Amino acid sequence: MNSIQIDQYIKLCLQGDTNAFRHLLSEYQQMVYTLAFRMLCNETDAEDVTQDVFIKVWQNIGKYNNTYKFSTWLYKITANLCYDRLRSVKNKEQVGLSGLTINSDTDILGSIHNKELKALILQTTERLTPKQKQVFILSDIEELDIKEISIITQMSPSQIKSNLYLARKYIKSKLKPYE
Amino acid sequence: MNEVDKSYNDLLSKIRGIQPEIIDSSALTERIMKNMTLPAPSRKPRLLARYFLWASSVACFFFAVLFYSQYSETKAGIPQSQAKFEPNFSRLSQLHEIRQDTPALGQLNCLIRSREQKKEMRKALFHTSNKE
Repeated sequence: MNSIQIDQYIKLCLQGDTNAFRHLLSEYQQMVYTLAFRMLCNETDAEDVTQDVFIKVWQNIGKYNNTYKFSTWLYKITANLCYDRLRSVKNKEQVGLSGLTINSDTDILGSIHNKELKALILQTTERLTPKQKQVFILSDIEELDIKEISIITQMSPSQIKSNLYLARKYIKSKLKPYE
Repeated sequence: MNEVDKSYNDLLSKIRGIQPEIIDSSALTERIMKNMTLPAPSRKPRLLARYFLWASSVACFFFAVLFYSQYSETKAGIPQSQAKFEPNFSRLSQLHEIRQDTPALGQLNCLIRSREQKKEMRKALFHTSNKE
């Protein structure tokens, strides 16, 4: 889907066309879910966040600034919702390898791919702060540039670099024993 | 590139290579389509609640100040408001006596603070007037 098509669908959405929204949803659902899953490592949470993101998009589509990419706007909403969720989980002290996934009900339903990805991310980002995790995933996994990450996270480039440096340092320190 | 960097890059490409699957993609789509048509929560009740909170906190502060002033007055025995504006008649009559005795003392009575001071002043004035 190119940018002209996206703009057309957005205009239709502004007129209340739900079918146009369905097209946008089918195009970007996987992208949003992937980012949410990589950040939260939980199927149910990722689905909830995906739903919240698209409801927010539908309710605030008039506020979309088309000088930025539509995907950047989606990334921004998703990253913020995931960050809030990670913070609330961290506050409840439920984060960690044991707390988040292994014994959850959703794990039974999840595919082997999901389990493998979940284990990999949780092992590597276990002790990262929500901010460090967010920057690491957006930069090194989603491969976004600093400028786009700055728009998404509303952090300055220097803040992004320092968080990314700490995240990489921690992950590399975990990799050392397996040399 | 050292070994750690190499294994780091391998890890990243491994994570990037795995695409998480939505358990039931169409069900999620339908769930979103169903929920998005629900009306957005109105901001009006929240704003009203905020105004109410402000108004009640201001009223609480006002009543607290009022209560405190009333309480301090009753604790002192005499209401402060009355004590401020009601003239002290006993003191006034004393001053009047002094003024009758010596007119000069009447002019100085504003400077007199205690009974002892008054006596001393009176004695001093009598002495000076007798000498004259």
